[in-house]
Amino acid sequence: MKRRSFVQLAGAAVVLSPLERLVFASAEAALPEASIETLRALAPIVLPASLGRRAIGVLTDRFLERLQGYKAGVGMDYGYGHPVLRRTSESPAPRYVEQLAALERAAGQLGQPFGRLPADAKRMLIENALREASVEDLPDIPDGQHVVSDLMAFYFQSSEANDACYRARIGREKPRPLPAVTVRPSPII
Amino acid sequence: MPTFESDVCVIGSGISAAMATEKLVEKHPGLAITVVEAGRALFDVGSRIRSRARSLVYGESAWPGDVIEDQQAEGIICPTMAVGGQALRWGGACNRFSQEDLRLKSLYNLAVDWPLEWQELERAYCEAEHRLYTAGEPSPYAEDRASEPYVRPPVPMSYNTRVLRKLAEKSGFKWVVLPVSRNVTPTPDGRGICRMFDTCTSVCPTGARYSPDWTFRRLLEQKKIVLHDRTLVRKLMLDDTRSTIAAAQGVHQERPGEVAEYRARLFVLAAGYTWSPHLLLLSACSRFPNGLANHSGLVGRYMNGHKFFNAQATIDTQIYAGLCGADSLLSREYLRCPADQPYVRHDLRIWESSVGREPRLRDEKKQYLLGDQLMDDWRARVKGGTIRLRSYYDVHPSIDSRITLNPGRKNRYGDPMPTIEHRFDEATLAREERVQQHIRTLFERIVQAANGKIFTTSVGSYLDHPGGGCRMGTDPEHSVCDSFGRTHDHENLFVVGAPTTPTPGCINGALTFSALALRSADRILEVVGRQG
Repeated sequence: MKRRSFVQLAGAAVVLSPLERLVFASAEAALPEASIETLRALAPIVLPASLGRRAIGVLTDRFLERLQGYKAGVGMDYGYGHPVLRRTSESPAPRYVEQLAALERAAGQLGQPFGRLPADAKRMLIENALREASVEDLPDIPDGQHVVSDLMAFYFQSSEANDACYRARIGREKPRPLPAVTVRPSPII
Repeated sequence: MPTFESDVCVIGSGISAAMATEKLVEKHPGLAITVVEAGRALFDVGSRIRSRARSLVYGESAWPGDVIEDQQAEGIICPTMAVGGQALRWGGACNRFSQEDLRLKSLYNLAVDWPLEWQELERAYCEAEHRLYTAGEPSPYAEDRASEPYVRPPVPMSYNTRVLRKLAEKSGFKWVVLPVSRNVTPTPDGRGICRMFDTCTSVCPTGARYSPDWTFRRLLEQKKIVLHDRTLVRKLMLDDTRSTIAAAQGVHQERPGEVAEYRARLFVLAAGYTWSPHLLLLSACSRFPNGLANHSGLVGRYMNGHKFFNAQATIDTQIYAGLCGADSLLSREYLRCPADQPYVRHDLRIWESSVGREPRLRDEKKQYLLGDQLMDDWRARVKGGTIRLRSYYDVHPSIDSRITLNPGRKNRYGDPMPTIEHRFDEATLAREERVQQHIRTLFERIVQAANGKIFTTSVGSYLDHPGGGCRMGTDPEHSVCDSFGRTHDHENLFVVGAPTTPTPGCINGALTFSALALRSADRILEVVGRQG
């Protein structure tokens, strides 16, 4: 097996690890098919291409699962020191649908469906969309401001991304045997 | 009116309530104890992994249902109201105060002395450490000598902490791994072992980090206590002819129109620094128009807590953010202050940190970073490490540091909710700038020793480990209760834990609150023993 393929599979395996996977999803589809298609087309632009197509596909699926499992009106963590009692807002799904449709409309003005545009054109439209939505930072967890920043936050704020960044098996917030954290995290080659 | 009779009625179910109740049960089998708690019993341990996961993924509360939305205080630092109290979310730190904390007036002419000897508190510390299965290493400072060793060896250091300790020791200060109530091996009380979920301050799914719900669950299973959760005690009722407490009147959340009466020989008010004084104030009556136990006018006064100074610094040694955020190092170097020197007392703490090294969506030029570009930018910024430094420093409350009842904010029953406003005495205000500068200098020394650089500092915007509101003392004119928490005005009413502290110390408070509650239990046992 080529090294790159192995890395890609390893990435996907982390994402799919049954120990880590928690199914929150309901049976209902998270988004209409057309929106999902656009989401899948933008994912390779905003997520690291180095993960490989398969891992990006899996991450997108999991993002959709997360969306399916979203519950509105649930008490949120309130912080410490200056606690604020809040409830989760309405599902971001309708906003995502609108934002993804807007990307398709913008792509239409370039004469192609979003998925058929070259990567740099996709990137330009994505950046325009983020600017229009005044997205300046990655949220800690998806916050519904924009589907792009939410998908990116879903991955980049994850334990898996932290490991990928350090190229080390840190396993932040994952259950681990205590001795595993007493030594330098093993490298991900 | 439903009436429930017991020997002892405990109001509240946080860490102080758990310690006192457990001890009463052990030392006086057969004592009928009823625990009344406004919040829910969240005993479904099996659901905790899922709740934790939803907390991480969706930002939902890690303890679903742990808040009563209309029973909240302005100025409270944690709104949790459930069996276990705020210690559902503590980090497990088991630090002792120092002897100086009890002798501020005598040694420094500051604040007040506590009405108990260090040896008495020290014994109670040992007991609390045993009950909490505290894991720790002996302090390197002779003044901290404990009469009994920790029950468990220190939790093994994470790789990051080990690296940081080596660096920190170059500063010349002595460091220990923070003593904690966190199990590496199982404990006989049924709690699990640490699986490094690393969400100690949110929820520990295995119970490796102690929380009081475990104690109450066990006591309930053993049928040692009766627990009435979701029942808010709204008023303490006096005996018709004497100044003893006859009953606590409460309302169950699902039966708001039905007042339940809890009659007992003795009442233990263990509802924490906010709700204990609040209940006493709400219980005002014609004979005690300023509230119960408030002959001195000091219920809800001298609210305390410590201030803290923070810094974030880069170091050039590689550490790995996310390895174990719960681990920290502690130095007690400045818990003491020579009496002839300007007063400054504080602890020193160090953690791994990820501040400034998180993934970012835009670069310095505000250009978006997408995909591999973002990952490359992130990788370039995680070379070396970031550390967080924090120092809790000693500040003393003025009499105007207080809880007041806010008539403009009421719960569903029409009770005014409390507002907490912290105020400091003049000496505290006068030394504030100098103390902060002193800590800043120490932080720089530590960071320079680690070949690093501080990039941000801040002063905490709230007081941590709050207490007070029913301060202990020997003089009934200047205190609410004696050193055992027994109120001066009502011989069968004890206040336990945090509210009784006259001053806040300058280190985590939970162990001290627990120790004081255990000491209160001793006196309660004497009283109920005398009563037969």
